[in-house]
Amino acid sequence: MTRDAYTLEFSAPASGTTRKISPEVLVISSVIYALLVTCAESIAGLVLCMPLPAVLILRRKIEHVRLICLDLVMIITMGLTWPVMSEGLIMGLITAWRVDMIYVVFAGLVVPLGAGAVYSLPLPEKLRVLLILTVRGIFILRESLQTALISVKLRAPNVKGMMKLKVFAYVLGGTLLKASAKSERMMLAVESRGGFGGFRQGEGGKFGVSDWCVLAGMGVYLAVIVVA
Amino acid sequence: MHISEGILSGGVLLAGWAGTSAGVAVGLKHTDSAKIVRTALISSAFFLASLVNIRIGPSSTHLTLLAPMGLILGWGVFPAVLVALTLQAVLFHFGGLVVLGVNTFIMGFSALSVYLVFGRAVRESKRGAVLSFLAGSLAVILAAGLAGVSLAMTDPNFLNAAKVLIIAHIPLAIIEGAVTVFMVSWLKRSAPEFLS
Amino acid sequence: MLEIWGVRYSYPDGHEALRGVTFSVCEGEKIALAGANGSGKSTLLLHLAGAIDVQEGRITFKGDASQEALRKNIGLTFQDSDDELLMPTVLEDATFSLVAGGMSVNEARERARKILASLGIAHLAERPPHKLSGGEKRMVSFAGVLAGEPEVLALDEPSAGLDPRARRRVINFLRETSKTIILATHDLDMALDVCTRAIILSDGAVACEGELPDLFINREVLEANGLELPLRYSYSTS
Repeated sequence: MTRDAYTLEFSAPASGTTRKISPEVLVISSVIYALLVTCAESIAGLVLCMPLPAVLILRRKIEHVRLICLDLVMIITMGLTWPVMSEGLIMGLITAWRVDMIYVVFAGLVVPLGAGAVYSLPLPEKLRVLLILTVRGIFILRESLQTALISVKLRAPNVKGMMKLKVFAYVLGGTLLKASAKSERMMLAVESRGGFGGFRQGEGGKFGVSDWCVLAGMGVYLAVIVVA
Repeated sequence: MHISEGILSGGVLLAGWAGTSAGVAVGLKHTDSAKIVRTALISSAFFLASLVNIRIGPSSTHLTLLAPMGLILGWGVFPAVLVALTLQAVLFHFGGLVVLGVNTFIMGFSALSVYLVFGRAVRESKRGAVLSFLAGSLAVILAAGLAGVSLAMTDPNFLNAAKVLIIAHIPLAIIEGAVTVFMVSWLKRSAPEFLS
Repeated sequence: MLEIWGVRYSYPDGHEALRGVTFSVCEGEKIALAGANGSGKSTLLLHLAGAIDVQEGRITFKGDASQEALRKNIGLTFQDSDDELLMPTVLEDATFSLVAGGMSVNEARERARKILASLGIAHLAERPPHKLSGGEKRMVSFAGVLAGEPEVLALDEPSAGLDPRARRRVINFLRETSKTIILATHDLDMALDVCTRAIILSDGAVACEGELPDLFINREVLEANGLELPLRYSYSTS
C-alpha cells in the first residue's frame, strides 16, 4: 500500500561530484536542463541535449522499467489519436525521448536529494513552513495510516466494492482528525519555542566556485541549444 | 493526471505558473499563522492517502481526493497542492518542477472550484450526498479537462488525446464521487467543524 | 520563583480544565504534578510555559506576569515528542528556538552541538526525527528546550512510551540537572526518583500537596485521586 511512503527518505547522502555542489544548484541545473529540452525544437537540438543524461546513466542506477512502460503508453496513445497515425507515432517517439532525458537528469541529480532539494531554496516564510511541516506530517502520520489499513484488513479481509471505498473514506477521516489534533499541539510547540522564525534556517548559503561553474556551464548549454 | 516534463510548450508553462502564482498568493493570504500548521498536517494526510493503491476489479488506481481537499482546506488548497506536487516531483519524479505550475493550477483550480461552488451547499443542504458526489466527480473531470486543454494548446494535434484523457477519467470520477460522499457524511457526523 | 494564583481555565467546549489552582515553586526545586488522566496537568503546564493565555488568575515568574517572561524562562516538553520535533534534522530542531529568537544560524548550531554533546546525543545531529527511537526523541526534545536556556523545565509525562533503559536515562538526566523542574506525571516511581515535593491535581484543582516520599506512601489519598501506590511500595498479592 504505502510502500512508496515507507521508502521515502528525507535525503540520501550525495555521492561523487554532486557532493561538492549545493542542493539548490542541482535543482536549478535540472530546471535549466528541462527548459533547454523544451526549447530544443530540432532533432539536432535534442541530440545536443543527450550528453548529460548519458553521463548520469553510466554513473548512476536509474529506474527504467516504469519509464519504458510510460513511453510505450505515450507512443501508442499519440499514434492512435494523432490525425495521421505515422506522424503521431513519430511525435510520440520524440516526446518520449524528451521526457526520458529530463527524467534521467532529475532522477540522477534531484531525486537523491529527497525533500532536502527544496528546503534550501529561498521561499516565502509561510510556504517554507508549509513545506517543512508537510514533510514532518507525512512521517508522523504514515505509521498510523498504515496501522489503520492493516487493522481493516484483519477485521474485514473480504470487503469489496462500495464498502471498500466507504472504509477507506472513514479511515482517511480518522487520519484527518488525528492530523488536526496533532497540528494544534504542534502549533503550541511552535509558539512555546519562539514562533515561526526558527523555520528559516536551512535556507541556502553562498555559492562556491564549483556551484558557479555548474551554473555558468548550464547557461552556456542553454544558449547553444536555443541557437541550434 | 500529472503531465510529464517536456511535453508542454513554453507559453502553456508560463500561463500555468502565472495562474499558480496568483492562486498560491491568494491562498497564503487566506491562511494565517494559526491555520498554516493545520493546513500542513492535513496536506500530509491527503498526500499519504493519495499513495494508497485502491484495487478496483482487475486493476488499481490512486485517488486524487481533490474534492475533499477543496472542501476542507478552502482557499488554502492552492498552496497545499503546490507543496504536495513539489514533494511528488522531487521524491518520485511524478510530474516535474518546470511543469509544476501547470500541474498545480490544474489540481488546485479544480479543488478550489469545488469549494467555491459546492462548499456551503454540501455543509448545509439535506441533499448533501448528491452534492458531495457531484463535487467529487466534477473535480476530477474538470482537472482532466484542464489537462486536456493544456495539451491541446501546446499542439492542436493533441485534441483527440485530450478527449481520450477526459473519457478515461470517467471511472475515476465516479469512484472519487463515491469516496467524497462517504467522507463528507463521516465528517458531518464526527467532525462538522472540518467543513466550516 | 514561580507563583501560580487561582488559575482557572475552560476549553471552548465549556469543559473546565483548571479550577482555581494555587501553588508556588522555589528556585532549584524539583516538584511533581501528579494526577489521573484529565486532572489538568497538561493544561496547567501549557499555562506555565506561556502557550495558553490565563483566563482567570495569575502566573508570575520572579514577579513578572507577562506571557513573554514565561515563554522565555520556562521550557516545556510535550508528552508526545513528535508534537515538538518540527525540523528535518535533530540539529536544526535543537537550534529552532535560538534562530527564532534572532541568533544567527551558525552561532545557534554551535551552541546546539554543545548541548547535544552534553546529553550524549551528538551522534544524532544529522538524523531525521522519524528515524529515532522513543528515548532518543525524548532526549532531542530536551535538547531543543535546553537550547533556549530556560530557568525552569516543565515536563509533560516524560516517561510516556519509553522502555526501561530510556526511562532510566531520562531519570538520570533530571536528577543531575540543576534546573528547577516541574514534572507532570502519573509515573509516581519516576517522581520519587527525581522530585522532593509533589502536588496532586484532581478534576482541575489542587487536592493536596506535600513532601516526598511521605505523600506517596498514603494509599488513601492516592486512591481518592485516581492514583495508586508507587510500585516500590505496593505489596505482592501472591
